[in-house]
Amino acid sequence: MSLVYATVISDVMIEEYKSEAARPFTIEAGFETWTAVQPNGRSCNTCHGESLRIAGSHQKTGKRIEAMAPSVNPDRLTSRKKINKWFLRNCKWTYGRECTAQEKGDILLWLSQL
Amino acid sequence: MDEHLNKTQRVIGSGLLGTVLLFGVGGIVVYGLEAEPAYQPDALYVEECGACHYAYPPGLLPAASWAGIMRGLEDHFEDNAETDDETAAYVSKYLAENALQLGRPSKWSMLLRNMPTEPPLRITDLPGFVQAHESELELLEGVDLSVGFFSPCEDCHRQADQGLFDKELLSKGYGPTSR
Repeated sequence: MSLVYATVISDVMIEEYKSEAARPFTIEAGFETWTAVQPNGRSCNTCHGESLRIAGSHQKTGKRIEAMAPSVNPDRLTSRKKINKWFLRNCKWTYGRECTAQEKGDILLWLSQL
Repeated sequence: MDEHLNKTQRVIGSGLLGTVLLFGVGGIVVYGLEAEPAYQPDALYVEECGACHYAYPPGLLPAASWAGIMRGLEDHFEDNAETDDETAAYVSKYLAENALQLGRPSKWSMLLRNMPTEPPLRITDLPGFVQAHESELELLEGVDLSVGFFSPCEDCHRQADQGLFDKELLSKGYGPTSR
């Protein structure tokens, strides 16, 4: 497996989500979905912080969460398993449900260019 | 007095030296043989269960507690810790095989003391844990402690990742560091 393939797994997943999405993915929609504060007071920023170019911390335990921006942290968006796991856990915690293919595609597109 | 030892003195001296060496070296060998292997947590377990908090060693809770935690990953102390079925099965097995258990002595066996018939989900709710931290609780008497105050073991037990909770290893002026 080449390094080039490994770094574009998010592109592969974005392609896969296209068939289930109503609208084309946009960076703006990804930003909106990520930052919007939910009725429960939560958003993705709650743990990841206001800037994704620096580490965040878990809202309850304070554990360090490494930066999400791939430009700063090249490990991000390189594992399908990791992406799926954290979408499962964190969408359910933040939104009370799993994210739709539309939301996942928008978010991945926005994250991939940070 | 004659500077050379006579035969009797040599025999007794050698015998004493030999005995001392036998016990000394033998003791070191036995200590080495009986020494506990270093704590080595499963890598997948640490990745799955140590991303948001310290990866608690399986030996700190009985199997029934771990099973309860694994059943409730969707609401894991007000967070979501779900994972795919394959990973969940793997982690469950690892936890069960290395859990705190009567009849399976470990350096954490004292946590079995006064274990209720339905074991708690939190390590910090174990009567054995409370007993082990009696003096800390006394020190903090009157202070309103938040739920989960003792949850980050690593704040005071700086070598918790190596499974070391010895009193001697506590940091000076032990207490939570600023994050």
